[in-house]
Amino acid sequence: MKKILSITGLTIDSQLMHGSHRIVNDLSFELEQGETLAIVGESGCGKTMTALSIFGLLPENCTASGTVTFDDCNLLSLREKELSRMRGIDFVLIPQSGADFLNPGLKVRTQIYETLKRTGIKDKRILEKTACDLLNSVSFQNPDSIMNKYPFQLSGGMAQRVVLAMGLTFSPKLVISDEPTRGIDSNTSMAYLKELTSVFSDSGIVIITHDISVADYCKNIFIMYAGECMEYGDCTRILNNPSHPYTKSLIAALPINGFSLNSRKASIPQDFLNTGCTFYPHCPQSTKKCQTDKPEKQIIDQTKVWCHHVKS
Amino acid sequence: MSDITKKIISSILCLAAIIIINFFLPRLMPGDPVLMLTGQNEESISAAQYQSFEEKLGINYPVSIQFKNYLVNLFSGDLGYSYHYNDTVANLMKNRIPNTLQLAIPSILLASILGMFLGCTMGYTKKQRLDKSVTTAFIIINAIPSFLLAMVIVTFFAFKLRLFPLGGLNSIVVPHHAILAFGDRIKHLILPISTIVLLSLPPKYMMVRNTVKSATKEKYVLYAKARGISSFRIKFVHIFKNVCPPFITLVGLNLAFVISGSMITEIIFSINGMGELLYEAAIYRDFPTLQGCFFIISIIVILANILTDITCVMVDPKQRFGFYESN
Amino acid sequence: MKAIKRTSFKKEFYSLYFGIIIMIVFLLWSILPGIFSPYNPKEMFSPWLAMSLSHLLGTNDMGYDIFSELIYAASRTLFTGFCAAFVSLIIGTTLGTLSGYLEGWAGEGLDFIINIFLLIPTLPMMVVVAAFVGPGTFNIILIISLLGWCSTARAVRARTKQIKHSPFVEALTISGISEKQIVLKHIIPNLSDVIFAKYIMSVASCMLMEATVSFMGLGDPTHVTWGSMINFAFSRGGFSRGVLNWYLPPGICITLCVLSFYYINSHFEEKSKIVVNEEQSYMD
Repeated sequence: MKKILSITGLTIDSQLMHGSHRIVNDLSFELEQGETLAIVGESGCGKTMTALSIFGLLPENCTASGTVTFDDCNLLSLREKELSRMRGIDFVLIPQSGADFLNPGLKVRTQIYETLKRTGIKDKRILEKTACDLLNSVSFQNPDSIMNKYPFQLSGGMAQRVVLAMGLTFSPKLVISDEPTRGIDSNTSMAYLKELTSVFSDSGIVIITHDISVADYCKNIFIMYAGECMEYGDCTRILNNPSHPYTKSLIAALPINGFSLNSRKASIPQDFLNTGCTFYPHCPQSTKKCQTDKPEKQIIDQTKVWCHHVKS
Repeated sequence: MSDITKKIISSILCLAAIIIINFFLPRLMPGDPVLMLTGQNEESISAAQYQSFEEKLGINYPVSIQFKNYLVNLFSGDLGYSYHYNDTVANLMKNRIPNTLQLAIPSILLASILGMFLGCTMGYTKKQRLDKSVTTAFIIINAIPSFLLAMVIVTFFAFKLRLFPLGGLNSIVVPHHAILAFGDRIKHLILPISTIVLLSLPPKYMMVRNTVKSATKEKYVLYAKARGISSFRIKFVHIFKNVCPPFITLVGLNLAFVISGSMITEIIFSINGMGELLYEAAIYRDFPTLQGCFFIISIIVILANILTDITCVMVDPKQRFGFYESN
Repeated sequence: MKAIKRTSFKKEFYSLYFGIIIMIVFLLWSILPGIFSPYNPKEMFSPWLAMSLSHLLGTNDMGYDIFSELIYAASRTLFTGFCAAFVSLIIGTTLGTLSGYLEGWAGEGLDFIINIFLLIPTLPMMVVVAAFVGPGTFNIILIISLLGWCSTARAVRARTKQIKHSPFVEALTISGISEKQIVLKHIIPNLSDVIFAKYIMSVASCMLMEATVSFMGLGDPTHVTWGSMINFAFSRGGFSRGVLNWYLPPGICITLCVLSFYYINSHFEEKSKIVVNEEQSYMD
């Protein structure tokens, strides 16, 4: 399969009032056509920043370094104009909840049309028809009435499907879905994920989530903690046989596995640490070495793990 | 109660309050109400004159009947008689209102458009330095007293550079041809209108800039960018649509300020408007004229306010569909 | 990177220093005018003198030294501004807190009153009332503050509403603290930053209003303020003769004073994080 996205050594720094702060440190992963990758991590671990850096939409005080190769060009070195031409066509963002991400002051129709107009369609009737088809394909029964509404008149699920339809306008090579399951109950979220993976079956999908159970729908999984990669590899292998203590604790925290107080010492990610393993303050197995030395990449069963306790 | 009915009720109440203030001011203030209402001096008035004035004004009647008479007069368009100008106040107004509106309306429109445009551009721009310098310039303009700004503008552009006429609405000899007369009028209007625009721009600019600045952090802007929408469209369609309702409210609230500004500008540019009338009436303590001016200006401001409120509801879908009530 | 940050950090303080230095100069002028002014303000020289070393800003039509007059006018101008702002602050805070805190009929009624006052065109109203009550510093303070409290009231009202619905007030209500105590001991202390910010801004706007009223010729004739200096320049021929050194300096003084209030306020606002990166107008 063709490789569409490959990220090597992505590092994001943010400038704050009291100095620079590293959000994401030295991430590397790849994505093939038709593959689904889950980036799993807690809030604030840098998942969304990673996604935004692909779009070139980092906040002004953040800078990214490393390479993000998409279609043989490094996205980080592209100019704003060239990036803006690619955004929404070659790679698409499906935001976490449609209601917040649609403009409350414009009708759904206007917002769908303005995306459609980028295909070069100018005729009103064709626009209308294409928009209806798009909304039909995300199982809306009466697209016309939806289009005449304002986003705040839609329910959360409806808004999310509208956003999904807007992502479908072009057949994108890369789809990044930010927290697709946030705010939806688990039954609906599974249905939504199925829909997401089926409508974009030809593209590479990156699902950003804090919920490790989402990974069931993905081929590969990428586990992040405080801006660093902990474990990266095939999904079923990692879920069945986790090697990193962090992954283990994430799996232990799933509702199916019961309630246990000792699964984690604390839940708030620490600031990025310059020395040692980022996870050591919360790791049940931490040793002196974890505090002083950065763990090297270990490969077991084609799974990449960054931990001192794992021996290949 | 919806916002718009609330606004209309408070406008009506405001009008009532102004009528009451107007009625009671000369009657409750220390001093002789007869003298105040006629604008005469104690020395210059004979006893017989005093008697006739007293009867004419009906000061001897009980307050309730006086108030009734006052209201009847007001609604039949009788605003009193100015003994200083020897004319009815209504007549004085009739000639002056068009001149004031001629200044105020173009200024309000121009300032709104300019404020919106500059605010959107500066709030969205990534050039921090440009934004900062433009904003600082407006902060400084905002701190200058209105009359001083007008005086400085006259001094430099009319007095020193002689680019524009010193004041008035026409040249002493008005050209006969209609187009030439119009051109002459425009030439006379440029300086006062630009003064009023400069005076009323800062609050509008700052409000738009701040709102746009905080809107750029909104999620819908991020998503629009991620969809590859051009920054021009994001600025002037997406953000604009959301800045419009509060902006229109602000324009409504600032109307009184703009009209005050245009009144002061009239004084400096010696334009025959309400402002100059108010100024002269204040100097000569011509109370009927003062009150009439105040009443008419209040009506203009209140009507314009209602108008902006209705526009605001029409522009804002959230208000139209009762979004705020359900939440 | 660090160097850039340090300068931008300092730059924030520059505007504060600017505000404080100007404020100190004007306060000194108003407390000890005799030290700074070269002449007694009532000393007469020949009229219409141009700017020179002996008369820094020349003399006016009566032959008074403009620079001395300018310094002696500072105290009246500042006094009027501070007092009017203080009175309007008290009215605004009281009405704002009450209308924000009270429910139903009373709260709505007070809200209506605030809205009504917001609608009244200030300048004509001030001119009419000033003309009726007659000139005098005390009268002017009263008029300005009676018309200038609305914006304070609105801000205080919004903040009170916000605090009232915050969890800690709900917790106090549940634990049976009396309403009076909640308002006086818990809500008003939390309003202090808004009140402080509004006070400084309303000193600025009250000074501008005083200048306008004085310019309209309704100021206190016994005391010179910067506004009335400009009025004299305008009505007694300084303007038509183009004597910039008469009417420009008092105007610049007003502008600088308003700016200094603005910058002091914006610094504290940034610190207390009421408004982030917002510039506000004096006339709202």
